[in-house]
Amino acid sequence: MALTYDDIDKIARLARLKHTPEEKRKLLSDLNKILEYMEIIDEIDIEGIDEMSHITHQQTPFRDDVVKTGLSQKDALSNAPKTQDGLFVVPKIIENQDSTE
Amino acid sequence: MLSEYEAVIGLEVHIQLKTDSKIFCGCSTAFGGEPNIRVCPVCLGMPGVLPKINKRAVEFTIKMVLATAGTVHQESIFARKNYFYPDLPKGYQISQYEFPIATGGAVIIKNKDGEQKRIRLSRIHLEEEAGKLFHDTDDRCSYIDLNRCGIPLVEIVTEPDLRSSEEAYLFLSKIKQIAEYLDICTGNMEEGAIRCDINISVKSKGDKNYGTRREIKNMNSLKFIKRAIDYERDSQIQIIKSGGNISQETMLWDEKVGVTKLMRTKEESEDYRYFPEPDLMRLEITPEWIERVRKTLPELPDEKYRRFIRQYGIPAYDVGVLTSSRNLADYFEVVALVSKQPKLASNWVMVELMREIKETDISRIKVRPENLGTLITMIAMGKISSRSAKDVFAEMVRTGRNAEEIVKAEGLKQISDKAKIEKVVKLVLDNNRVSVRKYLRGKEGLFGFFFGQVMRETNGRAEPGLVNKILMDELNKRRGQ
Ligand SMILES: [Zn+2]
Repeated sequence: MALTYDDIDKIARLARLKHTPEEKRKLLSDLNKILEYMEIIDEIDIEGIDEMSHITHQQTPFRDDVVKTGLSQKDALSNAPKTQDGLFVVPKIIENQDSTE
Repeated sequence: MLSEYEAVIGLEVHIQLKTDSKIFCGCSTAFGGEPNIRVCPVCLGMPGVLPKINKRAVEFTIKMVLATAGTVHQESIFARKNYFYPDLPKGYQISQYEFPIATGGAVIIKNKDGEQKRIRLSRIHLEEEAGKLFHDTDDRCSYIDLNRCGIPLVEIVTEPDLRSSEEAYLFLSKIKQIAEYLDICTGNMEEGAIRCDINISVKSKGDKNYGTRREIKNMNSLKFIKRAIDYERDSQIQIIKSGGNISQETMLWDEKVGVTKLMRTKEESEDYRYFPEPDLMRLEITPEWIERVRKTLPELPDEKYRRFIRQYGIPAYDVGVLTSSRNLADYFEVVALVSKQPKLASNWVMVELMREIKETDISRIKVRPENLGTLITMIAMGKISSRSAKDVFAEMVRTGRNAEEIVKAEGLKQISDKAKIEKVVKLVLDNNRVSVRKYLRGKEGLFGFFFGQVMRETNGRAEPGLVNKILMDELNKRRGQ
């Protein structure tokens, strides 16, 4: 199942990325090569094997509810291209809301 | 008119858990203060970090599931919900998708006529909170504070069982009440500790099929939730009546204008591309763990309600108010048990105490419940009048001193000494000879005047029943003279 330019556009939109036609051509060819490689996995016989999300059978380890000191505000912001009054600054977001869903 | 149609509503409720640290890192979950001071490489989404789950967040979720009679799954899986938004530094939210911690369960709501309705839950899962965004109206930037990012959230999803804004309101109040009883959430809606998304469609009454639904996102006030649902219901009915179609859209409530506004259409809707979170292995919750948590559950609102009715014999309305919060219910119980006067205790808590806590929090009130209990005992034993008791209570609210101390110091003790009252009665009658003659000649309405005079002379402290009797006797004695 090969990808089309529509797929590239959709993925790019979800990732909030813009590409030149030249970049798109290269991406399409690269991604299709990766998918072809993945398709080899389809050849494995998985008859009788249950669907699984992780290959280990371990359970996720727990952490006790203990507060630890993290980064200072200065360190936390030190990689950001733009900051103001202790806040990260980004280009204005259109939707006037938080994203949590 | 509008009544031919009804709304079909389902809710997705998000509850911020009151753990000390965040869900996947050790940063504090405290509210307020400077921005970006409770962050670390994990919640900032730096490359190469690993999340490790907070055991108490899982335990709190189990509590919520048990309190709503759901099924805790022994195995559940965390999933990545992928979307780009600046309040989510990783580019995905760790949530749960196909395999949530729990499914099923229900919450019983009760309307003001006492009618009950069972609202089914479809699932309960655990996820992480995003950061907070601020927007300036005039410039071209948005600002991000990531202190909130990574606070554990429990999401409760209902079946579309709600039919009105009133029912949605009752449901949310009940969830808030249960969370407060379980002590797993601050319940502070102004701080966003409980928020919800509303799925709403309308249909003709009697129609079995549901209409196309719209979603109103991110509501955090019970009052606005009611308004938003009513507005959205009416606007959908108008569209249908004028021959239009509802399309699956996401709306935002604009409180300033009082309308819902289009946020995105179905075509623009996100594709979250969920997949199992590779950084966390499966979450195992053993039956033994569930049983251990079950043993720590407090008496829940419905149980407490039934017990109060049974044990204290007070009206259902009173019980509803008294059990609305666990702190208030606990307070009442101490007052009732100390005074052994449940009805009087309920009146005092609901009228005098509630008036005081309207302005403050019950935990900050200076009157200890056992002291209020003593005050009520003194009223019931006739040691002080109800009127003086109110003055004593005001003093207790102000200083936190106990009732007996205040009564002693202020000389407010009720006068039940027969000789003392007789003396005052005689004095009053001697000072009002003309009125006494009029009374004896048949103007019986003057009795109230004498009574009032006696009460005034004793600063309202004379025991009313005794005054009544002695006054009657004294007046009769003067009949023969
Ligand atoms: Zn952190």
